[in-house]
Amino acid sequence: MSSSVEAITVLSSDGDEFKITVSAAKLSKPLNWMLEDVCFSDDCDEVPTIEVNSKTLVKVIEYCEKHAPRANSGASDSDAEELKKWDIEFMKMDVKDILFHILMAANYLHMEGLYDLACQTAADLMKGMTVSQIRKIFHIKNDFSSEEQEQLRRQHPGCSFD
Amino acid sequence: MSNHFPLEIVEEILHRLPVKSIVKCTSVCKAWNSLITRQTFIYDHLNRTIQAPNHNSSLFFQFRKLMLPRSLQQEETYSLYSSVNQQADQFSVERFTPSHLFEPNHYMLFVGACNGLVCSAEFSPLKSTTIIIWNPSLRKYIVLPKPITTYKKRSRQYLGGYVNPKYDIAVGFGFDSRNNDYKVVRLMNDRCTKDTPHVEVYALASHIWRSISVIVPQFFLNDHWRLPSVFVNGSLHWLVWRYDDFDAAAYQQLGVRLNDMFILSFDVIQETFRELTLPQQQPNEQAVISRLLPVEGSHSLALVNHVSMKWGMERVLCIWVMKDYGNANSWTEIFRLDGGRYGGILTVLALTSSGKVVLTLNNGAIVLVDPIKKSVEHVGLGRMYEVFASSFVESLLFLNKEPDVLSF
Repeated sequence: MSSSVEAITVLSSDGDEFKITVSAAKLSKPLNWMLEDVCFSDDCDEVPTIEVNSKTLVKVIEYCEKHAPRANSGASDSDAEELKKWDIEFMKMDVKDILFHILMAANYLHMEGLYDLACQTAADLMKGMTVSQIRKIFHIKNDFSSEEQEQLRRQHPGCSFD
Repeated sequence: MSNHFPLEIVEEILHRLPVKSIVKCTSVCKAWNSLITRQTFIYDHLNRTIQAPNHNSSLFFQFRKLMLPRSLQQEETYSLYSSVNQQADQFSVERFTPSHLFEPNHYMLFVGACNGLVCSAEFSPLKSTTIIIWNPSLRKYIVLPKPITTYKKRSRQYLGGYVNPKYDIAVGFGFDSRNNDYKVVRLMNDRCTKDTPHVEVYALASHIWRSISVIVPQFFLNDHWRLPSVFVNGSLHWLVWRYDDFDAAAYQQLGVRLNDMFILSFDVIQETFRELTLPQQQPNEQAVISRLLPVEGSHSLALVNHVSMKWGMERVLCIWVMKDYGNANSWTEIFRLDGGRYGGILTVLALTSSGKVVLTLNNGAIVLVDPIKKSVEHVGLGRMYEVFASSFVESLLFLNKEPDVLSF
């Protein structure tokens, strides 16, 4: 890889082109490996595709660009505090529409920080939900019979399922 | 896409939920149910909880209504105090309904808490004695089989009083990390015969009691039979008196002489006993009450001595820590609390991993004190109760142990 390259172009699964700086791309292990393997000079016409849709990739790149300076150079406590606040704002998104896509993308791109953050956000949302609300957001069909459900309730008297 | 939302990611999310929410998720669908009730998930969850930086910030309390003369009824209540994530402190009290398993006129010991499980035992030498292990978060319990060695004759029991004249019964509850098993050990001393104490071990995996023949130093529990066993470094610990030296009259008059006491320890894996030595008593001080506590998160033992300066009125609480476990020379006094502080300190209930001290005060209040920052956090009221506390982690153990495990 040429050291002069500061940003690379990638394609989303929808075929849209996105620019991501090299330092930000390093937050993802697979992207980092790609940087080492593929020629990214300007005259190279090969553009790698990331199996993440455009809407999600925008968010993933936004996260990477924000976190790259800290990941590469370390940060002071005040920076870390600021970043935490930014993460909270960043995660204010629709669950079904985007959070689940972010989870899958972070898992697929091996981005530990984003994966942890997205899992925690999903968990925090689920804490207050009923079982049927949880099924709804995960698009899960209830495959228990009513007898089985009744049995589960009896098994766990200490927990509310509603 | 969500129809095929990977279970691998679901598992990661579930691990970040509180225990009650995880249990709720068992009824989402069959795939989630089998994921959560798998033994590997339950152990993973426990290990992650223990390794999490805030894991010891929950405290488990047992409150007991003080026995009144001529009253045979008593009642235990339990609660969990949590200050995780600096969130608003909560003090939730839950009634313990399986108490019907216990004889109403018998004392119910808080034996100990370990990995989210609590052991409660009836203080009785008789065949009918009941011991249970329960998970307060899941409201599930298991009744242990009756112990092998019991005594037939009903001895007089001074339940609220100062000694039980005939038997010493010590019960302990700990985790065997080699076999991933939980064990209850029960020691019985018949003081009339002076025989070596009977020792029996119950293992949760086999669900049976075994008598073991091991050498046990002769000991005398005195009034310490009420106190929970202390599980530290893979061993259980009790603060006991040397049998031959114990002088009841002198004890009543003069209080504790540390030189007459030692720590009886039981290695839960090896199933062997040993003695640990206490710190040397200061010549100008006299311990009135001593109590053994675990130092949460540091695999070490602490000793709390209520000390009165010789013939003086003031009372001081000295907290000692055995910095290098097993090394008697490593006992170090880490701090002192003036007994008159905070309106009068009754006793130290626990030491938390963050360096805080849990105290009961003379006015019945339970407070968390930071001896360095001098901050005081109000936990709740324990008035009219005998209180025991232990650090606590919520776990999913017993979730899939049907049908041995019962619910309440």
